[in-house]
Amino acid sequence: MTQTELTAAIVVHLDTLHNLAAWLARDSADAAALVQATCRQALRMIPQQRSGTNLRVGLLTIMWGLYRQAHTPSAVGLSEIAVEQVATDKRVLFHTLRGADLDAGLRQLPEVQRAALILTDVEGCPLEDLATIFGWSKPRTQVVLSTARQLLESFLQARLTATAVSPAPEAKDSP
Amino acid sequence: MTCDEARERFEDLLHDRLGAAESQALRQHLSECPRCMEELDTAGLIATLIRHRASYHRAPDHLRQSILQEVRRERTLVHRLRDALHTLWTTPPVLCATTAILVLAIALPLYHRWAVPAPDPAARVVGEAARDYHRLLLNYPPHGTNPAEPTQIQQWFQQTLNFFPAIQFWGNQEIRLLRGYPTYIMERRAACLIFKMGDAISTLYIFPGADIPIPPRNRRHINGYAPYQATAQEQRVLLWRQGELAFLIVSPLTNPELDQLFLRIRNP
Repeated sequence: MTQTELTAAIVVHLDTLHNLAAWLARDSADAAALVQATCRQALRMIPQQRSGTNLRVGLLTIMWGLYRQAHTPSAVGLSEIAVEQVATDKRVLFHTLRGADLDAGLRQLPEVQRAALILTDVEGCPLEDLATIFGWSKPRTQVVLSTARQLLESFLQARLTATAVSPAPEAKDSP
Repeated sequence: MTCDEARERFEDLLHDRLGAAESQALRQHLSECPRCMEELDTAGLIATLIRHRASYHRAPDHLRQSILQEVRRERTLVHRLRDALHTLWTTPPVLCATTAILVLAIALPLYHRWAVPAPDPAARVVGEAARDYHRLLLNYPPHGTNPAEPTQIQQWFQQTLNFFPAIQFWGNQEIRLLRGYPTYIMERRAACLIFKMGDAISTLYIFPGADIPIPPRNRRHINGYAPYQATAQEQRVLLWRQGELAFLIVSPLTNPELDQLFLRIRNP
C-alpha cells in the first residue's frame, strides 16, 4: 500500500473518523486529538499492509483501539441496565422526537453500543466490518446492535413520556 | 426459517444487503411471526431515527488542514529517505563508492587480523630499547643522584627490581661504567647500565625475557656466540638470552668494538 493511497483514504474517511471520535470523546478537543492520533498511527502501520486492505475498517479499528487504550469503555450491557418498558406507540417517536433528545439517548448508551450504532446506521458499515473493528464475531455483533437498539428505544420512550407528562413552562405563564 | 436465523439477517435487511431469495424467506417468516416483526419494526425505526436525526460531526477545516499537513510532512520524509536509498543503489558512481566503502569496512579488519603479521617481539624490544637509548642521550649527562658505583647500583636494583640482574661486567679502564638505573622495557622492569668507550655511549639492558623468542635470522657470530643483531634509530643492537633473562646492547660502536663490549658482558 502506498502513502498516496493512504493519504487519499484519510481525506475520504476523515468525516467518518471525526464523527465517531465526536460520539466517543468528551469534547471537540478530545475528538480532534483522537483523529490526529489515529491518522498518525495509520501513517506508521497501514503502509506496511498489503494493497487492497479495507482502509476505512483499518482506520476505524485503529481509532477504537486508541480509544480503548486511553479509556476503559463501559462494559455495561443491556442485562445490567434497567430498561423501563413504556407502552408508547413507536411511530410517535419518529414524529415528535427532537434531534437533541436522540443525541442525549445515544450518549446514555455504553460507548461500544453507541459506536456500533453510529457506524452501522450512520456510516453504513456492514456487520463484517463492525466485527473486525471491535474484534467480535458476527453473531456477537448482531446481538450488540440489537441490544443497543432496544436500550436506546427504552431511553427515548422514557424521555418522551417524561416530556409529555411534565407541563410546559410556557403554559403556566400564558394567559 | 427460525426466529434466531431471522434475527441474524435483520441488520442486512435493514441496510438492503440481502439477496432476493434470503429477503423473500425472511419476509415469509416475519409474516408468520409477530414477535420478530415487532423486533424488526423497532430496529428499523431506531435505525432510521439515527440515520436521519442523530448529529453528524464533520471534521472541522482546521483539523483537516492540520492532518493533511502532517501527512505531507510524513510523506516528504518518507520520500526523501526513499529517494536517498534509490540514489544510493541505482546511481553507478554512488553505488560503486558505497560498495567500495562497505567492502573496505569489512575487509580491512579481516586483513589486519589474518594477513598482517603480528609484530615480532624481538623487534618490539629492540625498538623500545633504542627509544630509551635516545631519551638517555637527549638528557646526557644524566642529572640527579644516579649512582655510579657498582655497589650502589646493585643496591638500587635490589630495592627496585623484582628480579636479580646477573651482571658480571662493571666496566674497566677501556669501557667505563658511567651510571646504572632501573627502567622499563615492554612494560616490564629492566636494569640499565651506561658504558662509555671513547666518546661513544652504549647501554646494556637486562630484563626478564624467557618469553621473548630470539629470531634465528640476523645472527652475529662472535667467538662461538650468536646474538641477534639489528639496527634501530641508527644504533646497533645485540640481543641474546641467558637463562630467564634477556640482554640487550644499544650502541653506536663499530662492529669490532661492539663485539668486544659483547664479549666483556657475555664472558667477562
